[in-house]
Amino acid sequence: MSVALAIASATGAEPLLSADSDEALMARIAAGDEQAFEGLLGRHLDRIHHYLRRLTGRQADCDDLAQETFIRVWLKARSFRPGRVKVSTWLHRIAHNVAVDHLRKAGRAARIEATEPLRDEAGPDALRQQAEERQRLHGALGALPEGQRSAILLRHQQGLSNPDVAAVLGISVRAVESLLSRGRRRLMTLMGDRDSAGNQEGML
Amino acid sequence: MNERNEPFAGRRADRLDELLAEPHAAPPALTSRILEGLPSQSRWQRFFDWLAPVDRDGRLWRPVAAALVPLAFGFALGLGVGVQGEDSLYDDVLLLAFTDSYFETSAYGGDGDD
Repeated sequence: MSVALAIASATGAEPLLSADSDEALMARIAAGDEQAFEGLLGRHLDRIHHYLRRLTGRQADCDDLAQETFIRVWLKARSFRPGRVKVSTWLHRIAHNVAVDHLRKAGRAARIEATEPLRDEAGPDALRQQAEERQRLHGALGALPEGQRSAILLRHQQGLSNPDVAAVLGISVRAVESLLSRGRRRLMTLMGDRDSAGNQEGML
Repeated sequence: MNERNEPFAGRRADRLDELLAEPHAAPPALTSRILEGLPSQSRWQRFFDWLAPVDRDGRLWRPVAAALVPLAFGFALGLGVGVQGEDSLYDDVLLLAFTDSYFETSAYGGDGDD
């Protein structure tokens, strides 16, 4: 049990985690407060996991990478400087570095799973069509170079601003704009190709 | 041709945005797995984090200062040994000079033939 929780339960006071800003949580995490860490985890785990899932393309890997990311957050909380960078940007930067290290070590940056298991296969046609669209997107994202994929995911999936994407990737805003433009065009082309390939297969 | 494709491309772009922005949930067991696997924030870890923070802007003096500590210690040690060595040498010279002159002027000095 964390110190904060123990004090809160002893005094009968509820820790105001939901009212705390991310920066306040980070300050408490830096002091070793596990409850604050749990609060931050609850706020950001889904997003970080989603980013890692799309970036690495493997479910089992992204669970491990998400764990490694948040352990680094726990250990490096003291090095976070509020005001210089947003907590979400800092988290994404750590997650991105963890993922890129992993991909380089594994040497399979381009060997992302070509397919994603179809969900709701037995469901109605609309659900099946959505599942196939997701699968096409997954395959198309896997075919993008890592830089373009990261930029697109951070901007369009995670909703970061261009300067924040630049901070995560450690490049200029202009370079981010270029990556986004080229990546999006290529992604559309790839998805279009897969669409037409799928249609042709369906016709055959 | 392009004009005919524009609405289709626009719809595809919108659909792409929708797909990318779809919500996602991490496996429920992952939270407890992360919490159970948390290492302790040891003093050494905190020291190294302080010494070499991830965000190094303006804090380059920390590793530089840490590198200077053994250097300063070496200087101090070297200076101390030097001074001490000269003192002891001076003492030895004085002792030898005194002993030598003592034997020369002493009644017990000389070769004893007188």
